Amino acid sequence: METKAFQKIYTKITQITKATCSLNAEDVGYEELASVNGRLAQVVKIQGASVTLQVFGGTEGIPSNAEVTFYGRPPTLKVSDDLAGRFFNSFGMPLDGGPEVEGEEREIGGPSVNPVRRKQPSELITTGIAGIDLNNTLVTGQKIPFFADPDQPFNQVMALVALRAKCNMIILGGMGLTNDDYLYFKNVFDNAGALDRIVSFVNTTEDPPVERLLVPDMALTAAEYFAVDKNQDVLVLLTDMTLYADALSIVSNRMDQIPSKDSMPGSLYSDLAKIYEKAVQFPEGGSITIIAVTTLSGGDITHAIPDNTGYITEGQLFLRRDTEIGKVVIDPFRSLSRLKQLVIGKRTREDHPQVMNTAVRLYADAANARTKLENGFDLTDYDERTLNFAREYSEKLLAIDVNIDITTMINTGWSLFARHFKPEEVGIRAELVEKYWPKQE
Amino acid sequence: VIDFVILQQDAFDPVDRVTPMKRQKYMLERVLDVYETGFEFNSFEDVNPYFKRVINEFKQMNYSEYESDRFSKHEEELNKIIDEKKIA
Repeated sequence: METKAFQKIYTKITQITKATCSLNAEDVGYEELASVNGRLAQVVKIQGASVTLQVFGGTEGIPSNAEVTFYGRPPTLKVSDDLAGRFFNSFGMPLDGGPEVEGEEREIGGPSVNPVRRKQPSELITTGIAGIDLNNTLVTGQKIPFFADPDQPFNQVMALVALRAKCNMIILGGMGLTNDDYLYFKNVFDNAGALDRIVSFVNTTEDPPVERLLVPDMALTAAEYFAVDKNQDVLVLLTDMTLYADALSIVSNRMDQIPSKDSMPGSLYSDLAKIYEKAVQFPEGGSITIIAVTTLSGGDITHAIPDNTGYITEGQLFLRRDTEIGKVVIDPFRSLSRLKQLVIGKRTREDHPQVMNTAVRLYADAANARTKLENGFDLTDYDERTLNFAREYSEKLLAIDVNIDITTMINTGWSLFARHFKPEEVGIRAELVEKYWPKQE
Repeated sequence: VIDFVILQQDAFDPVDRVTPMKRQKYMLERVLDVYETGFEFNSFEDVNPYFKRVINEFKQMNYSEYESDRFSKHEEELNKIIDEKKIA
């Protein structure tokens, strides 16, 4: 980091906690970067003359007379087309041994786009995963999280989505990734020959947790460059937002802020919304779509992190292990894309909404039949058929390893209906049944 | 029947997404007619498939413009199905 010629050096720290330190300083702004005993820090609170800095590397070993200098500007990222294919740390410095990127230096963490300047999302993003494309169709400019237990393969699903999604650029923001996950992403992108359209900002578990607070803003600044300057459709993948929120709570608690629900800062909603609200469809054509991962503690969706996330985002995708088929599926009951109605039956075939609804209704009938079975009741012929349907539906459509186009997904739905049910049992509009019900089955 | 026909409105269907009050009242009265009708079945196994047919015709009425030919056609079909098992 460069410093100014005549720079004021402060040497009297008044308070030190594990992640922050405070001192009296003048002419300092919020989010401004600073150096504390050579460690990078950022202004998080100003009260009168007292300034609190969050020290990214932690405060261990910092004496109370440590040298503190302020840089006079918030964190920045140099943006250019050279970002593509590169891996960076939380500060935007190369992790892959390559040279530093030359380009225009932009402040990170700017405001989100004025709603009147946005276009209503209307373009489909396909992923090949039927649990998403068929039941919870994604739209450019949408913001949606995966809710998953920590032991579920959410990073593998994110990598699949990244490789299959039909968009121009993918920005990965990895927070608290294990080294295995980091290498997994690197290898998968490399092997697929897709590195040239992927930019990654990675904070691993070996890095100080507080550093990961910069990752979403770095990723979104890069995304804004490609979406605004280049009119490209950009997909931003953020994993794991729970670890991001944990870092927020560390800083907040160390600043003696009164914790809110689940020890989270009272500003959690605003902190998360500042990130998710960057999802946008521009009238000129570019877009930023955000898919995040929020890991749940013991499946608890009432925890402050998923709860606040659910109020901001446009739906959620729930991962669940289906013990019957032994695969991870996108749970159709708890998943929802709130923008799917903007594209299904419009950008996709006319029968898409009814096939989607009917399949989920029959899957719900199967869940009722399973409850009957578990409670020792006799099953009717219809119950048996719903259970057989549910097994095939999970295997052929809900499992995350499915990779087919939307029309094939809809046709698969029809063939499953025809194999297990009569037309009058599915309750689909008669004209659609006449047109699409498989003739040979 | 009341769940499938009255409560489960199809927000994605061009007709069913909006239900004028007159039509809603009419459909509810038709469903209540079914509730007040006595039916006779040879076995318990016959009940579920029979009501699946009843529900399907009700749903086809929901998908048809109110008082259109298509609506009347599905209503006639519904009446026929009800007459099959109705206790005289």
